[in-house]
Amino acid sequence: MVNNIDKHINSSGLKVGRRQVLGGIGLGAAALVTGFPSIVRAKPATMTVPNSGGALEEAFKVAYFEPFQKKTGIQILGAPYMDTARVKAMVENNAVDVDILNIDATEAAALARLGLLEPIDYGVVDKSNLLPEAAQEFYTLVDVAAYVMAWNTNTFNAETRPKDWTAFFDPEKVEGQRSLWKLAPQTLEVAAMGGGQPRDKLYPIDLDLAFKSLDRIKPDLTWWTSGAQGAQLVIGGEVDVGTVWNGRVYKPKNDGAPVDYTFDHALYVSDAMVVPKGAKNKKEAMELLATMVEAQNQATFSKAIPYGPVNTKAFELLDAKTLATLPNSPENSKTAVFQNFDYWADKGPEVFDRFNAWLLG
Amino acid sequence: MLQRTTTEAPLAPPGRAGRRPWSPGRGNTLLLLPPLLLLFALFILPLGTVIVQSLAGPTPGLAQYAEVLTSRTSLSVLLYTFQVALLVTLGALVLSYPVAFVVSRLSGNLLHLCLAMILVPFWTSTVIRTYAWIVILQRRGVLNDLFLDLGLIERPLRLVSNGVGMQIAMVHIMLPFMILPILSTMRGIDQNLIRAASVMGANPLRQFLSVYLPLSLPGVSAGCILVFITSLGFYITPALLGGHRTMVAVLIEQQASRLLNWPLASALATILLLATCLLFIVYERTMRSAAGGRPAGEPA
Repeated sequence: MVNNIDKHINSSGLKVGRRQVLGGIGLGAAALVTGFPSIVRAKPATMTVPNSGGALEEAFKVAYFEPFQKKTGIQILGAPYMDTARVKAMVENNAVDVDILNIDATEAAALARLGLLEPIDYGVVDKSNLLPEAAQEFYTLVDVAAYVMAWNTNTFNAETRPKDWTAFFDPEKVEGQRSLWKLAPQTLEVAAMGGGQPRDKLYPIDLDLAFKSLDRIKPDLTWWTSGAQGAQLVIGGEVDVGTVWNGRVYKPKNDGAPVDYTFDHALYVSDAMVVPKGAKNKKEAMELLATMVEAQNQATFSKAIPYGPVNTKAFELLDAKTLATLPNSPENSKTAVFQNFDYWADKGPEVFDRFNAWLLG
Repeated sequence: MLQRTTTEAPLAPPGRAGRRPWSPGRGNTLLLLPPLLLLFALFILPLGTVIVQSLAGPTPGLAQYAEVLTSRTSLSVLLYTFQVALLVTLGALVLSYPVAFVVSRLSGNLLHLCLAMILVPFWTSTVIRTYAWIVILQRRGVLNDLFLDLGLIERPLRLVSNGVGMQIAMVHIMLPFMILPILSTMRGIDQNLIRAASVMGANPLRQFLSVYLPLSLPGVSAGCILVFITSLGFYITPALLGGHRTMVAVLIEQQASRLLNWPLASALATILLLATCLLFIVYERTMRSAAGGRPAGEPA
C-alpha cells in the first residue's frame, strides 16, 4: 500500500498538487490513529525461522520458503532450533526477534499452557482440510513423523522381528538387545502399549503398566539420546531392535544399510509452528503458516522428506511410491496412534520425575 | 615443602642495576580491570541470576532446595555425579602421572611429538572422541571383535550403555587437563634437589617419595581440581555412552528446557556449585596444612 502511494506521487511528478499531498498525509495520519500500522509499515525484507535444521530445513526451503518468497517477496532465513527455554526467555524479556518458529509439538503445547504464544489466525490459515489434531488454538502441526520399531536385518527379518510392542517388551518371546529413547515422552507410550494398553485408550498412560514393560527389558536395554544415535544403534548392530524416528532410517535403508522398520503401531509425533507472543510481523507469520499448510506445498514437502502431510488433500497429489514412505498415508495409518501433546504439557513434570526415579532404581 | 628460591629469586640483570625489574605494581593492577569486567558481566552476573532464580520460584524461599534435597531421585543423581567425577579424576591421575613424568624428561623433537600427541586429542571435539569410543567399545565394535577373534571371550562384552564405557571415555577426554598442569610443574622441578637427595643416601624410591612427589603435588592438585570440576558438568559423553543412570547435567537440562521449571533447575545448579566450592575449600585447607601453612602451589 505504501509502495502504491509512493509510486503514485512519484509518477505524477511535478503535477502533484498541494491538496493531493495533504490528502496523502491525512490518510497516513488516519492510518496511525485508527490503528492500521500494517498499512503504513513496510513488509519485512526477511524473516528468520528457527527449525531443526538438516534434511528438515532443506525440505522446508523447497516446499515452503521458496514459494512464500515468490508470493510475497519476503526472504526466509533458517536459524538453529529454539527450544522452549529460549522461547520463554525471549518472550519474558520482551526481546522477540523471531516471528514464527518450528518446534516439537509437545513443546508447543507446553508453551501454549504458559501463555507465551499468539493464537493462530485461522482466518488466514485455512484449516478446512487439516487433520483434526493439526489445527490447535496456539499452534499448527505441519507434518507427521513417527516413532517406530526398527530392526537390524542381520538379526531379524520382517517375519522374525517382534510383531508388536508386546513382543518388543518381552525378551522371552523375542531374544535380542533393545534400544529406546531416554526420555519419558514417546518411550512410555510404546512401553504402555507393550504392557497391553489398547492404543485407542492410550491416554492417560497407564504408568504402572509402562514401567513394568521397561523392567522386563532393562537388562537388554541401551538408551539413545539423539535421533542419529538411535538410528546408528540399530544400523551398526549394537542393538537388534529398537525405536527410531522414521526419517532417520529411511535413507540408510534405501542406501542398503542392514535396517528395516515398520509403521505398524507407530506413534505419531509432529513438528508444529508457533508465533511467539509479541511477534513483530504476526501478519506475515500467519501468511507463511498458511503457505505451509497448502496442499500442493505439503505434497512437495512429503516428497522431499518422508514425513506425512497434515493437509489431507495433499495425499491426492502424491504417487504410490511416496505414499508408502509416509507414516500417515491411508495405507500406513491403520494401526498408528497420535501422540497426545496436551497430556505431556499437563503431566510432564510428574511423569519425568517418575521416569528419572525408575532409571536410578 | 622444599624451597625453590634457588631458581626463582629475581636477580637484577647486570648493567641495569638500580632499576627494579618489572612487577605487577600498583598502577598495573588497572590492567586487571578489563578481564574483571568481562568476568563480572559474563560469569558473576549470570551466576547471580541463577541463584536469585533458585530462590524465586512459584513460592519464594527455599522451597526448591527442599524439593531437591528431599527427592530421592535428585539426591542419588547428585551422589552418582560426584562418584563418577571422583572415579574419573582418579583414573586420569593414575594414567597421567607417569606420562607427565616421562614427557617432562624429554627434549627436542621427541618432546614436541609427545606434546602434539597430548594436544591433538585435546583440540578434537568431545563429540567426535565420544563417537570414536562408541566405535571401539560397542557390542560389535573393534575391541569386542578383537577379543572374539582371539578367543578370549565367547560373547561380546557389554562395554557401552553402562558406567564402564562412559568412564573410560571420560578419563580419556580428561587426560590432557591432568597431564598439562602436572607436566608444567614437573618441568619446573630443580633436578639438583633429586641429586642432593641421592648424595645424602636416599634410594630412588625415597628420592621420589620425599622429594619429587611433594614437589609435583601442586600440579597434581591443579589437575585434579580441573578434572573433577569439569567432570561434574559433563553432558555429552554420559548422554551418548551412559547407562540407565543419569548425571546431574541431564537433570538440569530436563528441568530447564523440557519442563521449564527454571527455579528447580537453578536450585540444582546452585547446589552443584556450592558442593564444588565446599570440596574446593576442604581441599585447599588440607593442601595448605600439608604444605606447612602455605597455600598449595605457592613458592616459599
